[in-house]
Amino acid sequence: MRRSLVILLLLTALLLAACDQGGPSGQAGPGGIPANAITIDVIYAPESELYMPQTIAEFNDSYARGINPVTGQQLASGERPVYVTGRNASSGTVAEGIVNAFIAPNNRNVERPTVFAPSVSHWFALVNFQANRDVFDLANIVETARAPVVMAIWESRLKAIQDTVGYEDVGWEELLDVLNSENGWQDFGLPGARRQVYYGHTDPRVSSTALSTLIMEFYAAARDEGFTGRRLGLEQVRDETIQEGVRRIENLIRHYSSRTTEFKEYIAQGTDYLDFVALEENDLIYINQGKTEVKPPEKLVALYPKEGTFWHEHPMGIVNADWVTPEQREAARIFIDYVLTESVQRRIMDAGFRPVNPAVELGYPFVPENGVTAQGPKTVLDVPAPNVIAEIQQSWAYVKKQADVMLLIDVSGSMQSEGKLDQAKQAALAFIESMDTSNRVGLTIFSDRAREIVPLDKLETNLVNLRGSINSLQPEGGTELYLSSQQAIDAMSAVEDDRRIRAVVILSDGADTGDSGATLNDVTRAISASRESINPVIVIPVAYGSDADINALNSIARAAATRVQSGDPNNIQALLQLISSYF
Amino acid sequence: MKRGTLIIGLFVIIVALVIGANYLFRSQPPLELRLAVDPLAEDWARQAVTEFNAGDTRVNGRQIRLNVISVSDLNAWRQRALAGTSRADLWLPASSATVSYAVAGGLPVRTLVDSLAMTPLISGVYASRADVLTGQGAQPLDWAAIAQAAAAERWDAIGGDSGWNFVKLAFPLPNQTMTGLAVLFSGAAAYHETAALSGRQLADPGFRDWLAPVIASVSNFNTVGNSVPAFMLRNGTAAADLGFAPESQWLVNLRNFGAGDALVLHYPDYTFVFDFPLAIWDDPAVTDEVRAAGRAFADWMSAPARQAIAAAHGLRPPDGLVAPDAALFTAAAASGVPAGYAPENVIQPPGNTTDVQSLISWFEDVSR
Repeated sequence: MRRSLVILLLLTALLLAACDQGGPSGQAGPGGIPANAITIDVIYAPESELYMPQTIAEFNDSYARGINPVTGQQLASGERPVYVTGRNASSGTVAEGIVNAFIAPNNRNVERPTVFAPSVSHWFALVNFQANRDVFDLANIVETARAPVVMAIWESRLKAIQDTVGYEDVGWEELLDVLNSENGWQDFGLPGARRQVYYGHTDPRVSSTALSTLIMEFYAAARDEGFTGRRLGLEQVRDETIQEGVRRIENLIRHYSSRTTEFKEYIAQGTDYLDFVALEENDLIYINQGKTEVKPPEKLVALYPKEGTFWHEHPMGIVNADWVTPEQREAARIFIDYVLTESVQRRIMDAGFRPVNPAVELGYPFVPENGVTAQGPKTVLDVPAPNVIAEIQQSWAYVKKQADVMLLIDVSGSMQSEGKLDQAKQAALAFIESMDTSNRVGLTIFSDRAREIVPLDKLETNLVNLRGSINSLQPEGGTELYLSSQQAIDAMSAVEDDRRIRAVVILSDGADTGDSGATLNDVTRAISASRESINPVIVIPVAYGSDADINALNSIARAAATRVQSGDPNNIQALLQLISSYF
Repeated sequence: MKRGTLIIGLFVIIVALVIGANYLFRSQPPLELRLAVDPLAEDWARQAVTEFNAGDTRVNGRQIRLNVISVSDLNAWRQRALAGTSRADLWLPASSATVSYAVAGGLPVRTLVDSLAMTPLISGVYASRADVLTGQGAQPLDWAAIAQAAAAERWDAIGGDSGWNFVKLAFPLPNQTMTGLAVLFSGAAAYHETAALSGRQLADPGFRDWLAPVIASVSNFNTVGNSVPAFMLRNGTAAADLGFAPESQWLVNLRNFGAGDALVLHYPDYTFVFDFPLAIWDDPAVTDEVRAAGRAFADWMSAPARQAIAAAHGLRPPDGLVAPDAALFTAAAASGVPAGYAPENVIQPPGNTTDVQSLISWFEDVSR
């Protein structure tokens, strides 16, 4: 009887197994992707890197365990898991890539994501406009995290302005008053401060913050010319007087950059480097939380311009294209729902973004110690129509501050080793190819002595000459670093044009071995002399390879209130391309 | 033969029968149907479909399994999305007007249920702004007051605080959302003082001149999204002073509006009603099995018991009278939301799609 019972139990188990409808379908396949998963590709803004990788990993992990991450329930029979691949990229570059996918599919920059998550929604309208189709369904764009564009300004500087004008709610009008004041900061209760105002922002062709900032500058310049309408139109953007007003603001620029990450590090160096910089509010919080490599000497505070600013909503848009299937659209919607869940929204707030889920109450880090107010901006500007934004973006070429740049390249014998010179040549070529052709660029090389081989001239004129000269560089002799640097800085200081950035980029792989008698002090003296002028020369030293004299180059950078950049043959091309975006 | 052996033998036969039946049963794959829903109905529809799928409703022995896809009414109609990659077997749009337009455009859709639920288009405005718009209660908070404020552009021009800057309205894109289009219809009905709109009235230059400042008062159509109340909650008065949205969306979000500057809801004299019909794609290729499945879902959704799901999302039954235990409605009673709502003047949009397309094209031009 007992044996019968055992057999019965076994048969019952068999029966149950046979009747089983199949369990959750999240078992991992090759590469950790569940076997029957719907895969979607998300490209997000670099700012979202603070929270997105972890969010994606947790989302994927949940499905791999057979659990729907939004509902927290086991996957139902037939419910397919979702697998997200994500990466960050500059919004402008991705937007251009998506447009190219439709109108120029053979272009080098083509992007075909399932979901595009830039910092600000301007890009969606711009993509639709430029692709001439509804690539994004604008009514179904979902905001996921919010951050206003702010002017991150040193607390002492903001207080100086407020004390001088006698009220707290300040904006572009007062910043321009400092600019237009004869003695600059010295007229605003800062007797020891320099006269000129230093400002920085990124490139509006690729950066959301810079695009919003440039639109704000057009608003400020238009208001200054008596424009009282609520929304900028083509009439204002094409108005030469207003364009000149934008140029006046851009004249405050010390240098540009393609990446906000750079500016966070630069401004953290202190008041010597920049007075204020356009950032997303979360970047300001990041700096005040001491997360930059360099710790800021005083607190930066958010100036929410009284004239108004823009919210960056970190929106997510699903692409309407033949490379996105209906199943992927649904999968994308689930991922977006997951980003809106309370747990993810709390992580987003921890990273310095304002949550969009009303269930998550605004708290730390939105405290005065981090330089921000819980209230945020009082006034938000109207977003111009896409064709107006496109026109503003195109205007960048003629309203931006132009630059004069001397490339000073070390061609001493030591550059022969490890293929350093070959890589440096490729990097120098990439540098000039990446630059705006309206800039003036020259080339000086040095070994035992400095030789200017391509004089400073408009890039559109001397590009061919520069290419040929760079390609023919040969290694020889010693390293007359100090004298060459001093001569280049002096020569650049002698170029008279207060409305252009003046810069020397020094690329050197070794210590000074020259016999001229010039010292490091001579270089720093030349820099100090230049800094007395209204438009000081920016000196950017690049320490190339492991034998570069970091200490000497650091001293030069400190004197110029810049940073030494460190490169090797593997990264020198990317590094010089980045530096080219400063101009 | 021992009794134990007999029992085991019988059991084996039973097991074989059960396994065989189960095999036959499982060899019938579920009947998978796509249900396209407008975003206004999406949360409600998803919850309902989850319950429906869990209920194991069958046709010819096959389980009916619905999959929801989101397709806005305007995309379904204007972009013919229902005929493309978003081809659906069933369609739950926000408005029966869209079904008419889709049929007029040649799509083979047929209405199964005239209305599964309803909600009216209403406006919500911060109390401080409402006081200015109504002259401290001296005049009604109607379309005339809203249009007048929009034309004045700035609050201080109509007696408001200069710190409020521009008059900021919020409604979704009329060329992509039914709510946005409904706002244009609502404005037209108020301007012409009629519920039955004609193409000529929509094209009337006087009406369009009157409405243009209203459109210009939306700070950024691209970020309003589908839910104006959610947009206003995120942005506060910095981005919108007044918004238009279906009553259901206001109800879902009402508890999140703070007590500081309270929200005032306003029901217009001429009302656009979102009536949420259920339609089926019905061309010769559609099988009887799919038609029967569609009918089964329609019956299931129409059952009075399902109204609780709709009410949980702020939607009323087709007759407008909500159950006394509908929590969202009882909580909103203090804000002037009635338990029963049967509007006198329900807006009838023009039947000619060319007239509506013309209005949408005009919107696209004027908002550029």
